[in-house]
Amino acid sequence: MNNKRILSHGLNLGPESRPTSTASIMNHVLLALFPGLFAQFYYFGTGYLYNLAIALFAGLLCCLTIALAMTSTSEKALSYASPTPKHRFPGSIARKNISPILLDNSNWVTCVLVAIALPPNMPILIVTVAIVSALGLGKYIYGGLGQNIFNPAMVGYGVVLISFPSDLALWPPVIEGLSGATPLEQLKYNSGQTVQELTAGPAFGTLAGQGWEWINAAYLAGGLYLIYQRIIGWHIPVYLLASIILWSAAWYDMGSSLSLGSPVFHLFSGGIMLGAFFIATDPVTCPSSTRGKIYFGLLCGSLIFIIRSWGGYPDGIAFAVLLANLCVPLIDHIHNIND
Amino acid sequence: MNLLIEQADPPTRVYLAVQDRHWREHGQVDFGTYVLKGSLLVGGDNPVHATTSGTLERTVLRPSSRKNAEPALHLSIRSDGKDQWLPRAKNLSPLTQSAEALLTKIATAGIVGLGGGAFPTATKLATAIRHTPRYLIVNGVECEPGVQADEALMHAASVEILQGALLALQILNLDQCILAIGEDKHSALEIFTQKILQQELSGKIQLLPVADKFPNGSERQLIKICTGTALPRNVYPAQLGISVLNVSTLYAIYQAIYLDQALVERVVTLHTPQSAKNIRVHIGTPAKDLVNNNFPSRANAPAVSTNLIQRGGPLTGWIQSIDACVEKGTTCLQLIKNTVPKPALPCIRCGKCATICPENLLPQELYWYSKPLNEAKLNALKLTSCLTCGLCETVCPSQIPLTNMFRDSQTLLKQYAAHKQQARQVSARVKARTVRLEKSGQSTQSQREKRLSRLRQSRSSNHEQ
Repeated sequence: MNNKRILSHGLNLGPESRPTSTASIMNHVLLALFPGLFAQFYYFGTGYLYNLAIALFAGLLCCLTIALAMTSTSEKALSYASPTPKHRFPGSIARKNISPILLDNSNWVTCVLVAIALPPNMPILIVTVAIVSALGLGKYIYGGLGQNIFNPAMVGYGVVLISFPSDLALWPPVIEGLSGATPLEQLKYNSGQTVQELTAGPAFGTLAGQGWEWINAAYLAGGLYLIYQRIIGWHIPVYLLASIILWSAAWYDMGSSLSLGSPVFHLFSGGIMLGAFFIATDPVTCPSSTRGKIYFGLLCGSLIFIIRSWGGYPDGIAFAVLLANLCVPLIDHIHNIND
Repeated sequence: MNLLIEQADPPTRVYLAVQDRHWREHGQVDFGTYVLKGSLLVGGDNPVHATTSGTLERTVLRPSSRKNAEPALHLSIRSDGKDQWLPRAKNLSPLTQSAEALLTKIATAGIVGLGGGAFPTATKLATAIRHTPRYLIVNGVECEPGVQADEALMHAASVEILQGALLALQILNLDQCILAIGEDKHSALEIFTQKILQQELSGKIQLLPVADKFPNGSERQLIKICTGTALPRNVYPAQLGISVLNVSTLYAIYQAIYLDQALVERVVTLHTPQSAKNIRVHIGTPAKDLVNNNFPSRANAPAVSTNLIQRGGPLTGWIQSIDACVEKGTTCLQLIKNTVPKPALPCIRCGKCATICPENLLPQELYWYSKPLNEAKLNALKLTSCLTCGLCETVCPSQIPLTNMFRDSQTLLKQYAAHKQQARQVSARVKARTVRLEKSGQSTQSQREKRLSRLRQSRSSNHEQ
């Protein structure tokens, strides 16, 4: 149905449901990433632009390859994989050609997310592997846009995190002359210091790690913009952050040497805001019902805290989101109606 | 848009859909006879009346007005152009008649819900009476943008509609009804306020302006607005004693009971890309004739499709052949532009459809399970309560034709359910038959043995002799 024609009849749909297009949704997401990108650029320098450039170039090549591969595959061969439709089947991968793959903008979002999740100045090989895994393994192997069960950006990041662990631990210091350990790592391997002693150190700012707090605040601002524009719903980020607060409050232990950090510290450390507003809210890989989204947010937040505190990695957004993605079919099965 | 109602001339032929499968048993008139406007052609539960005077010719297969339906059987009448009414009864005193008598009258006049549902009104009211009537809601909301047939009728026939409402109150034995009118219809609201005051009906008819929001005119949404409680899924309003009647249905009830007229005409909004008008059309007029008579040059012919028309409003309507006819449930016909729709992108499950769905369904999931039809999942997701209102499709950023898909799936689910029901009946019958055969077989077996033994005895006795 032509949206414009209906609007010309004077249909009042309210602000929350302006007709949009997939491409413009993705544009909003890219726009909302800008404050965070700028903050990361400010604290970590041009290494991020380098990451971004490689990622976008690799993404372009990857998209072109996929598009060519898809158009050259005959519809007949693919019809075994896709259910033969009695209905019209607009999402059929067989009918896709180059233009939607490049123009729906979702792949650019994935590339940008991968680029900013990686530490700056990554080798070309690592960025390329991450992008190829994100788009190939994370998305198009399932049939492309809307068909994947895992967040593509996190698949890409997860693959390189497992494959190149030493390279991915190389976070440059925010202030020159500091040791390389991120605030989260310092807290995790605190060598008997209390939280107060730790946060007095030069790597810490007012809320959390120096620099990291502002990066997170910038992503928070971008996320609020997305909620305001009704691109994402508020349920997942709010419940994700709430569960982080609950967990960290429970293990705060009044700031002793066994403490796992204060709630405020956890909210503004690592990639938490990026994860809460931009990654966990990926509509393709989160549950559809409102109640399902609440469970999904709580699960993500809990997994992030568990991996951060007791797992083998200093931050756990990627694995937490991937594990929660695994549970989405189950959640959708239990809560499949908005009543 | 102009709210005047134009009277359409009778077309050269009208085609009346016959819904009754056993229509030949109820047939009242032979082919080739001359019939007058309003005379009964087929009786039974779905009566068919001649909508203009002329000769009843034959049966023809023509495209059905329903979505996804095979071509249906139609009776064709060649009009003589005089449009002459059957002599009608006079001096009717409906206020003294019993509810049953009035209901019979409504049923024989062939009145169905004219808001689009086309469900027999008498059956609806009878069901409500069986379940103790509680509310009568008169639906003048007409929320779909671009459809103004009801609004035009409310301007032209407010007194008749109020009389119809009083008749419905009498049938249901209720004291008060709610007259819900869309807030955007200022003049209709004014007219009804005046008329209710003039006729001192304010104790009986309560005027309720309803917010101009689609789909507030839908039966379930309107019930929620008027009574404050949402209907449970899979419960018909009549089962809770709630009757919702469209204003044009009430007008038809008035005509049937006071004027002794069968339902032979209805108001239809006819749209072209440029203009629109409301026309009182003979039911059974082919859409093609209607368009040709009213827009001789087809407005802007090259832009308009010559063999397709959209039936229903811009949101809920569906595209079909221009040879299909105006039926009792047709509210709106639109000439559509000859444009190729934009190809749909894949669903990204953004959930905009779920936030706007008036029935709180999850259209993205319904879409997913409609592609290869998954009966169990679609039933669990309550596809049957989808109104096919078209809002999800309007807000979909990927422009997926959701409404049509859901309508198709609903049809298929209904067919599956019917097949299953049939299969159950058949298996029950087969079981009963085997049991019966076994029993009768046993009895015949024993009889045969007796006979055999008798025969042997007689034979042996013969031998002995």
